[in-house]
Amino acid sequence: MVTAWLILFAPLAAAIAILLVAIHRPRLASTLAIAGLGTSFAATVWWFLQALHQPMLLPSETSVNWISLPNLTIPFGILLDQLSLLMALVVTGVGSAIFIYSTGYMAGDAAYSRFFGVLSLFAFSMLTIVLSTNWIELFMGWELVGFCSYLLIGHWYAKPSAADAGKKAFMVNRVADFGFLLGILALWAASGATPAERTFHFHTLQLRLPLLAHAGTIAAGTLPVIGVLIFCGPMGKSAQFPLHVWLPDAMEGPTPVSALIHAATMVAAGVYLLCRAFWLFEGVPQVLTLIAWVGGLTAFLSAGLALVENDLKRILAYSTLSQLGYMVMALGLGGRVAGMYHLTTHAFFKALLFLAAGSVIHGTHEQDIHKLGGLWRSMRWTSLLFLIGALALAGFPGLSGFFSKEEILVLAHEHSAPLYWIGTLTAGLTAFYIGRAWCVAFLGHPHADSHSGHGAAHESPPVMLIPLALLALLSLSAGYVGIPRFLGEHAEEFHWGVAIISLIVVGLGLGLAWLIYYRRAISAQQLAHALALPHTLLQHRYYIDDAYTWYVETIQQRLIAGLCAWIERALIIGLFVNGIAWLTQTAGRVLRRLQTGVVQTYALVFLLGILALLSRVFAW
Amino acid sequence: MIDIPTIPWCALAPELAVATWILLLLVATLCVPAHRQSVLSHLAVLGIVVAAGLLVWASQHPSASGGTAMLSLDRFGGYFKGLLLLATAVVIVMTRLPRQLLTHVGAFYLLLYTALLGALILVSVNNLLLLFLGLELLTFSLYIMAAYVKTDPRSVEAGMKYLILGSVSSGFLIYGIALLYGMAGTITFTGVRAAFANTQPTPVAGQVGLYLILAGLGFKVAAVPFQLWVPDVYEGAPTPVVAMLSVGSKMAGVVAMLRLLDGLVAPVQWVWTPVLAVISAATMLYGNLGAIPQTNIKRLLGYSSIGHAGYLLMGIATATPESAAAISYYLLAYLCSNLAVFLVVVIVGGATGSDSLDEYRGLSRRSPGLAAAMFIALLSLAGVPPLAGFVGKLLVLLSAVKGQRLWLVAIGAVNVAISLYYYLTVVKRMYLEAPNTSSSIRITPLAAATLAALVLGIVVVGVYQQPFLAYIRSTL
Repeated sequence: MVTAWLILFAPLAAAIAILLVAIHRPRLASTLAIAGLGTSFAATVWWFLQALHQPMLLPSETSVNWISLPNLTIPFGILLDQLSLLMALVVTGVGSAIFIYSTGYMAGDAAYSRFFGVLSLFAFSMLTIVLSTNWIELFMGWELVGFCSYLLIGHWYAKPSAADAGKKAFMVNRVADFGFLLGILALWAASGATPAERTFHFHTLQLRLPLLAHAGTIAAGTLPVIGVLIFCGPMGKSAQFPLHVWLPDAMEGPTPVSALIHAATMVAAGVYLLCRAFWLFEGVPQVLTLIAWVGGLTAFLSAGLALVENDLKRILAYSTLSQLGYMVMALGLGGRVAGMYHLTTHAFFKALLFLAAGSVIHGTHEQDIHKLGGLWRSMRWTSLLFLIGALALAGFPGLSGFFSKEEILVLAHEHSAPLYWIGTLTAGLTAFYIGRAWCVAFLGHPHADSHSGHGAAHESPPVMLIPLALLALLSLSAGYVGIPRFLGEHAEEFHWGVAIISLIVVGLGLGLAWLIYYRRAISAQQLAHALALPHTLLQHRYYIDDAYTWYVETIQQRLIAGLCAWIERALIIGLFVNGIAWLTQTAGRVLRRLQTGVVQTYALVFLLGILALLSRVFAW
Repeated sequence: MIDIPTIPWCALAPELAVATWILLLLVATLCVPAHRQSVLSHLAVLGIVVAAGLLVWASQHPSASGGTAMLSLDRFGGYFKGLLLLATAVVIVMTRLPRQLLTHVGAFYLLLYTALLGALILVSVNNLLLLFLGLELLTFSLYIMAAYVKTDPRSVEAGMKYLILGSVSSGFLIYGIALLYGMAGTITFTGVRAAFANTQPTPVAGQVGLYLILAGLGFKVAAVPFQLWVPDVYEGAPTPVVAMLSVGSKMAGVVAMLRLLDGLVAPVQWVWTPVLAVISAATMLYGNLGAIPQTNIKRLLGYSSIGHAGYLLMGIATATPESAAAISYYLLAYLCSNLAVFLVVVIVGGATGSDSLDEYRGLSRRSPGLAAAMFIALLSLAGVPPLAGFVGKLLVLLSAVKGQRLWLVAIGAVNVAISLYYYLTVVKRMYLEAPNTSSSIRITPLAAATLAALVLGIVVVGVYQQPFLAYIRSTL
């Protein structure tokens, strides 16, 4: 079990060590961070190989009592099963690649050590979620990753937009986590009649809840409400509509952060949670339907937003939203394995896309696709690697994304016709927007006004390209290594009809992108004119951000915050703080008058004091 | 036939050692030449060590504990004797620091020892006559010590004021004792207690006597309205004397009050406790509000010590075993914190020649260690967790809650906030304001070690309360 604890605590040890000794030694900091996560990765691989040889080894659980109160014991432990092991492998593996990449990308940054320190803390927090044995431990990790995400989005906090983006991410997640926490507590309350019986433990809950529900101990409406409340957590963390607004803004953070946290791991935590607690949702079909539709709509609407976006990283962010929507939809349709499968492949190819985009930004200091162009010539390797990621994302046959997306589409085909068509349409949109990004940024001619002053675009150093190549390999091969089988359930049957239709749609998307943005056979402007209404809608991001801004500025800031400010200024500061200060100071001044320094006065007061005491005896 | 009482010599060993040392110091002061004065302080420290050793030995000697009609030589008293010896040792360290105004330290130590003996008697007092004798021995020594720097008019003024008001208070005290004797025909606590228990209704003379004694002891612990001497005397007297005054003398007074309440007043508690509660509230408010406009650190600490007397009186007014334990803990915390603060005041005063609060400006940049020690000690005095002072205040307030005096608890809690204000103004000067000069203040190794030990005590007593609390409970 030592290796299991090592998985969790090696990154934390690295984070603490960086904080204590390496905050002014950048080279040591990155070495420590990579060593920490590397150790964690090695331990995960060791467990993974063990598990392949002896499947009986899983699930394995170990824990210590963390908080012991009368009637309430909360353990802190590690649960290793197929699900957590796969997720830990993704986190530590992709994480290691991104850590190494970051040494190149962040070179020369003023807060290099802090970056690696927080990144290590993030790895620990994320692994706490993945390996947790109970809801409280999971929630602790959940909040910690949110906090690390806040720190890393605002890494360049001197830039107002970065600071605002960090704040936005934090606040949106607070709203969601409030519901999530209520859900956890409600689940605890439902898990037993007396406090001593209640538990936060996953496995115990999984065994007990169906019995309690069957016996009628839990009221009929309770479990659906708990399900919806708990789903609030994934809605925030995995940025599902309508709480998706923070993720595009989170792109203000350094690109490795976008790759690790806002594409591969943290945002997938919501999907992971749905898998972990799938037994809970299984019992409440109406909540599952809700989840499926939220996921499907997120997938479709975000893909639409990516169509009109010009910032390379934000295109990828919308794409992440859309793919997370796919995963959530898969979960909602009952496809635990399909969702987890897509999570894994997506982690590979989306991290690859982000890191390749980071390589572009590193080489050109530009991220508007219309100001880029012709990168194929100056950054051959980056372009090739980006293309692999793009094709995997689009679902090009044979690449990893194709297999996992097919699983989801087949699932949708079986369960819900509308969601199937939404999914298929989204696949076409996906192919189109990523084709557009590729054609505009990498093909064509370099723009005259681009990267002026920075010299010509240059290829990134090997320390950045090698992790990219590794991720590209995984993106190419992850479809063939039997991930669904490892998760212990049979994969969906391959469905020729679904495959052919989706191939046609993807081909259409890629072809249209090629015609419009490379061959310029169709004018993009005229197309926008022809589709004015949807175009405007997309340009304004469905007005969701505007609605939030209106709510925050008008209702919250003017009405509620105004009232709070008045109470604070008039009542708290004016009356209590200043009033009491005035009172005490006046009292102090009055008392000073009494202190004349004349000993006769003192003796007189002494005498009066005694008279006052004696008055108690003689007063009646 | 004269009845010769058996005297528990073993149990009296610490007091006997101190008394012996008084004679030794007297001889030594006359013999040791002026340039070898450090021998005297070594001798003084040795005396404390011997007395402490004997105290430990006596406490482990089962036959040694016990009592007479004069003194209760129990573990409760032993605990406070230990604290008094500790306080005296720290005061001796203060006199060893450079640039103190004290000359002729031999006589000073002599007086310190007589004061200590008076305090030792007070904490185990079981007899009204010894109450008076112990009090007078302690106070007389302090009169002279307060006026010790004859060249400094402020010191002389402090001594004079203390003497005049002290005499007034002693007069009332002895008058009260006389009234009790008149009522009961005896001066032992048990005898007077029996007289109170057996007489219904309680005689007026007895009540008046109790109030007059309360006034006399109230003067010692600086309770309103008998506290007016405090700021003047604290400001003028030499700082080591003030340290003894604020810790040793106050502790002796508080413990004597507890002894009286438990051993003598118990049948007629209603005479004292409601009055004590009111006095406690007034004392807390007076001390803490009065401290706010002060500009002299010693004056400020004078008011602060009045405020602390208020908390201690709250414990006495509650009059339960729990409150006695709370007071014991409070005094331990107060001893560590207040002595640490006074040590810093001695060091800074020695270096700058002034006790103005302005001398503390930018202390954190001049001497970070000194400023940090002062910071911790002040926070402990204010009652900020996890420091010792917090636990003391918490215990006292809790005991008052259990004693159903919620209004007093409320006033106590409000006073914590007020006291935080003026303690933090000192901290603000130390940490946020620019220093007058940039030269650092030199600290001798002895002072640094003592200060470190006291600060460690503040933290340990605050964080790891169980062993201390268990010990205190075992002494009750």
